[in-house]
Amino acid sequence: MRNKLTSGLKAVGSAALTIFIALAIGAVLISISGENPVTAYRLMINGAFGSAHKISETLVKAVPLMIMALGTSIALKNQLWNIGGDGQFTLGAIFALAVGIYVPLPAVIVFPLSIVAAFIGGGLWAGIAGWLKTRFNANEVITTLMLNYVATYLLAYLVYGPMMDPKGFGFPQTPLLPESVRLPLFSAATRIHMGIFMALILLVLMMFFWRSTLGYKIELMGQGQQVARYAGVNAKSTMIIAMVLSGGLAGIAGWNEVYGLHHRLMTDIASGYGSLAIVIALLGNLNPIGIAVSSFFFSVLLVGGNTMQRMTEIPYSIVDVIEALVIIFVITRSMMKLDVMKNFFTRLGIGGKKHV
Amino acid sequence: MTVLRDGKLIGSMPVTEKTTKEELTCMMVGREVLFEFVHTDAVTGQACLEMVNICANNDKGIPILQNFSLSIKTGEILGLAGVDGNGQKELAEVLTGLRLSTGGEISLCGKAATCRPPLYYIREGVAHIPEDRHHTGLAMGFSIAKNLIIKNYSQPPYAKHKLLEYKRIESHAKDMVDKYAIKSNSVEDFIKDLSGGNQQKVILAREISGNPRVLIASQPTRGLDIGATEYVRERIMDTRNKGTAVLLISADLEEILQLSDRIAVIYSGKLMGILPRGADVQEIGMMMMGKCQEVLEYAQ
Repeated sequence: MRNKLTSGLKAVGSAALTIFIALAIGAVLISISGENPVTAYRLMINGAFGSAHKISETLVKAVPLMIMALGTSIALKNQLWNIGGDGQFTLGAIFALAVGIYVPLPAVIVFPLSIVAAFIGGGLWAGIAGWLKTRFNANEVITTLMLNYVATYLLAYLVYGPMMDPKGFGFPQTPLLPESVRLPLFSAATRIHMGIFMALILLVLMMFFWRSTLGYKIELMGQGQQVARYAGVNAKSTMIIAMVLSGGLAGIAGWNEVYGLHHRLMTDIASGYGSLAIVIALLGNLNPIGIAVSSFFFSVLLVGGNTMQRMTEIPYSIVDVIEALVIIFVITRSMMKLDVMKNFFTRLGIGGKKHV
Repeated sequence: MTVLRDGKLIGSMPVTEKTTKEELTCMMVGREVLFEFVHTDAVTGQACLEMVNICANNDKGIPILQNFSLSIKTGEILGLAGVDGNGQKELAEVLTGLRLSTGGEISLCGKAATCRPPLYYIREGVAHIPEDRHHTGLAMGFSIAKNLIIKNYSQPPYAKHKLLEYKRIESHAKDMVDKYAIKSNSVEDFIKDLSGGNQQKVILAREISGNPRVLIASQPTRGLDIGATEYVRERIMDTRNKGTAVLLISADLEEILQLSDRIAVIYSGKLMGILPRGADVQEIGMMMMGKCQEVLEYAQ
């Protein structure tokens, strides 16, 4: 079937269009605030790609975003709104770090074990929401969101309490991971680490996942529970599996941050990637390639936006505005495709069938 | 008093003491012959689908099916006539595992098959043309090719080592599109872009191409144009001729009369009686309004 390649291209194409419109409107806003949008965007691009260090920073941000968005896309394909990426990320980070500092085994064992632990941590957190949904019909939007708070306070308890670094002068943080299990850096000058390979491996795995029978089953669930049940799919177990996989990937994103970047836990480790991951997944049309491109775009926006703010009078909030515009376009995209756009073009007389 | 049928005004008349039930029945059930149809005698075998005292609740949890019993032999079409909403939908769902019965027993060719999950009935060769093709029968956002395998996507040749075999799925879809005259540009077309008739043909292709043991056809031609209606009916007839036991559930009396070898009537979740082929329309109509047969003559 040719549809995998075309859907990948389509996803990238429509993401690019959405981004372009959002940036164009952003440009208008920048000119209104009295700055030159061309300069602003040039600074943004420069801030994201201007030097080896900047490119590295962009990639460092893109990796966890992409892993989490890939996870979110699994739940979304099943029409489950997993809002709890942050909580699952946190649990993954906690589980992974606990393995790294408390398991007294050689690094060859601890390292893979930490990945598994992160997956279990994140998967468990999302699985709770999945189970509540199937057992009590509890809305997953609410439960995953609430579990974020539980995760935040659990992390705070751990870093202020049982996992606090005894030699840390009372700072709310855990001991550092032993050097032997950390993800190696590419060079000492930049922060980009081998976690990028994890992202690439997961990207390829996800492309195979959507070709698998399990992936098909999850997609079928997304078409409606009625047709899925009719086709013999066990709706409840499939929902839980989709949630666990989704949360598991968020957990691995947590692992990536701890093992590649921070090497310890602090109180604010998740930093709001969860909500961004949803936008990225939708912007990428839930397609792995689309998600890879979208996460890279967002990372450019976030990292480049910082530079833009430092070098001009434009506040960082313009980045938030562009982000919000992308969200609005993504949400209205399906509608635009159908009626508004068609009617618009019909009225202009440029093709499109007339609605009767 | 005014009678509406299929959204058309059938007639109005004043209610007097002379108004008979028969007159009313006649107007309500009506009978228009759309096209001629060849009906050969059934070559029946052993009982294939048996229901004994089936009870079930509707979506609101209120009992709707009450001690419903039927037996269908291989190679026959049993038409279940009745006004919509008298338990037909629930019966079809119970027979395919989509709804749990609250009592009674089902057996398939002598093997007990009560209250199993939907997958069990699929694997046992119970095909189902559901009445709601948009929500139940088809995944509207999937392509034709993907819709044709929703019941056996995990089985060879469509999947190998848990991965879908796109080439096999595509060639299967091309076969089906040719064989069942599904009008489309390509097998990658989305189902939602097809006409109702072609959508129903996709369901038909999926359900009957595997030579099922039992076919539950619920309102198989509802909302279709005459051409598609004729096509679907012919195919159901073919399926019966190949030895499938067919339960045809339809609110369209013409369809029941045209296809059925025996005609059962359901009213308020109860079996009103069973009539042979060629039975009087008036009689069926009266049963649809709740007249119960005293002795079940054609139960076998």
